[in-house]
Amino acid sequence: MDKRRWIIVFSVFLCMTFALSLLKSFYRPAENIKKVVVNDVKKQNYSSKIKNDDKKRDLLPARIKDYGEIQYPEPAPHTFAVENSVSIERNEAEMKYRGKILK
Amino acid sequence: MRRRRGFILYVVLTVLFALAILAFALNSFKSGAVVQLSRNIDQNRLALLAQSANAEVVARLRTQANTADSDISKAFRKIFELYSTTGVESLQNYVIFDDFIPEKTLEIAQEAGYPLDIKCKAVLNVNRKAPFKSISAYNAYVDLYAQANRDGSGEKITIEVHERREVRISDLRHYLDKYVLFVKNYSPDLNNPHRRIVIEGIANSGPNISRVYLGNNLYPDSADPQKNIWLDINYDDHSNKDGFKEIFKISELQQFSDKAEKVLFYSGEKVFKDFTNITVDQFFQVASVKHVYENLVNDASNAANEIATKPDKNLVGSDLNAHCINGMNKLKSKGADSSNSAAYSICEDFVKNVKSNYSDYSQCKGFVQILNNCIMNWKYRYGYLDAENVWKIYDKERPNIPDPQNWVNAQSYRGLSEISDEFNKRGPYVNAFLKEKDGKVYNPERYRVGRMLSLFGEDNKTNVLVEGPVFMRFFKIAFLDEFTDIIEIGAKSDGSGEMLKKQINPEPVPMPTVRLDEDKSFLNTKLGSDLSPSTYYNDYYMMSCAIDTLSVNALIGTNVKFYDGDGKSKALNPITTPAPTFLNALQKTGANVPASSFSRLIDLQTVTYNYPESSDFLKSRVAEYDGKKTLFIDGIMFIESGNLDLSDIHYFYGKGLIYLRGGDCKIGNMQRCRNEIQTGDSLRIYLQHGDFRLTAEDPILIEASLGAFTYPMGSDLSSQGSLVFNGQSQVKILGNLLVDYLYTQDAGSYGLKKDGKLIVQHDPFIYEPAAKIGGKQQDPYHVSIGPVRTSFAINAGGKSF
Repeated sequence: MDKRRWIIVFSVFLCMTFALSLLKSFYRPAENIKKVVVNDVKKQNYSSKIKNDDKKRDLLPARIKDYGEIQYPEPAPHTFAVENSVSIERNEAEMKYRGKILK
Repeated sequence: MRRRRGFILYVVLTVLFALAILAFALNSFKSGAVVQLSRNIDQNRLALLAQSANAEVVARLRTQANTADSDISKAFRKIFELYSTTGVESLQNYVIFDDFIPEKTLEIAQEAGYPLDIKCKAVLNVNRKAPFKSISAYNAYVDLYAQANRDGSGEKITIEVHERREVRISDLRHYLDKYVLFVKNYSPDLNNPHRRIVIEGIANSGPNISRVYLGNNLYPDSADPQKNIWLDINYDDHSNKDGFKEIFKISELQQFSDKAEKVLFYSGEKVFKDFTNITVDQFFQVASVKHVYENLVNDASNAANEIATKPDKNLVGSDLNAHCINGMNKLKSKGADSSNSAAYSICEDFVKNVKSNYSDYSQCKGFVQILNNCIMNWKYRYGYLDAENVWKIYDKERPNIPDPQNWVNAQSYRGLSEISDEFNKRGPYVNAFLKEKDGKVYNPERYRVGRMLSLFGEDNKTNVLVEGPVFMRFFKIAFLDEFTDIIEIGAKSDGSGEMLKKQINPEPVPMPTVRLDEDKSFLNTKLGSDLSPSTYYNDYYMMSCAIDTLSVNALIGTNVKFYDGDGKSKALNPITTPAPTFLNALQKTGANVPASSFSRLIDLQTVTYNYPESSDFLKSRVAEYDGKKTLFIDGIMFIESGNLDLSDIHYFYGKGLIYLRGGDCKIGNMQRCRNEIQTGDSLRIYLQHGDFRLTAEDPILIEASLGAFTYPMGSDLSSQGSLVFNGQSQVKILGNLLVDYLYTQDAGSYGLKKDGKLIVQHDPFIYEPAAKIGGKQQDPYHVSIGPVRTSFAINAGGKSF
């Protein structure tokens, strides 16, 4: 009788294994997952590009830097605007207020 | 056996039956709760992935917002283009992109085997412009949408996540960027030969030229109405400048005579008798002429007293008078008188006509005869030279008065520097301006002679345009030259009596400096004709003096192009333009803001980060990069107070401005950690109430714009912004320097070491951040994306794009 009991248990185990194997084999991911297409801009890895341009620098004051020929654009209009005392006072008042908030 | 088979069949059927029940149960469950569960799971997954997509978009915006040529970067800069072309100050619903596929998020989904269909949209809204005219900055926000779908056949599940980020868009350019050096207050060290300031402007290109403002705020209390800055030109430094060549027109240094030093920019002579506006009586006290007359009277009285050997020293004053009377008595006892004795006649002339306690010979006929002879024979000789050839400027440090050069101790050349009691052992030039008037020293700035700061770089080739009350200075040494002649003296006016032929050789007459407001003499009487050999400056006085009426910009030459205060390209001739070229700092027509009020405002609403303390700033912004402690800069960052100690941070990353409202900044070496041509990295540090204090690293290189303009400006130096050297010997700033005052030699050890040097090189990335440098177009703008979400929403099922 003991032998039969074990045969039953073994049979159930085999059947469950078989069933689970069938389930697993029938399962597969959806076929229509899109291949990711990313445009050129998105592919650019700027951080690595910048890192490649890094250079080790000497801490000591070096020669006067020479950047070669430089082309300047027309200056922006706001770079000729000098603030008068009214604007300066107003800015100062805003800063005092901001300072109180921050503190 | 049959029993056993039946049992096995029973078991198999039982198992099959159990499987059938399981399949049926599962099928039922899936169609109900499982469907519901799977939807929830899908929605959660999609929401998570959509948020991931938005995070990816934020990262993408951050990395590309300040990267030239990217679509994202261009999109953020649309507002500046719009504003400059149409004047519109806001930009609404500007779609940066609406079909962005977040690569990393999709990869995550793919790895998990999840069928994801996702796209993102970013919309920019610019809602505010900074209200200050010197600031071009905007407040904006960017709305991010990530729309995620479960892909594949079957039910479509859509989740859309929205979030909002604040954006600060700034144009970092400012009018102060155009200055390589801006010093509001008077500085006594601009001619300091021991602690030099070297200015290296940008390479001139059309109207693009670095500017320097040197102000006279807090000028020393003085009686002089002219509170100017005079910079001493130097032949070695400036002889190659076009302006120098044009003004002095020399190929090599000149000399007064073959035996004299070759030190003069020009050497000339005039016939004295041709001078007009001066009168004979102004020369009655000329020592040289008086000595000749005294010598004559001594000779006559010695002869009368029958003294054969001439004493070493001539008698003067009452002694001479008594000697003459004694001699006359002796001659009279021998029957001689003025009709037959020249000696008697000379002595009698002296005794009868000498005045003012024997010091005024103007009534003495013999003296007048000698003076007239001098007037006919004198040659006025003069030459122009720099301070270094008059004084030993390197031997003593300020505030000591430099000793004269050996060659100027000769009688002829003493006009500027004669060390005698008459000039309080300071020399006529220094003495003239240290003498008091109305209880005040006349002007101590005028006597600080030396060698001007190197405005044109170490090789003196790069021009800068100087603003403020700044003049160039050089010196004139003048004298009446010696001559030899024979006079006949002793006869009466009718020609009777004994005639004495006498050779005279008046010693050279130096022309000491006096002030123009002192009692008039031939030295400070304006002549009727100009002595100057040049049409560019005037010289109307006989005295040795400083020629200090030309603008320092005259050294540039006859033409300089620049942008005027209205932003228009202009050209001028700095030699002929009345000095100073620009009394005030350049600004728009009609603005008229004094340079002492110049400052950099920041618009607090476009500030990217606010820190109550400098320590908070350092905690937040300092991290390791490439194994080095690095300061990460992101736009305009405001710190309310606290001393900012950057002394152990030697690198920075990014672009922006640190604005410290109250506190000093300790700084040593500070450099970009990335290539500036590729990245456009630049740093500006602005202190509203504080000094830059250099730390003990020598030499020092700082790649930054350093500004310390105190507001409100204090009434004394201790409450104003400066660069404190703390005994450094070599300091180089690649950027620019904007301070209230700049003393390279200071009390204690605050100044530069002796023979130290401060080099300020104008960084083109500061001068014009929009320039094309190293073949790469640079970007003057900076975009900061806020670190926190200011709005967040999830929409299940709906689609907004």
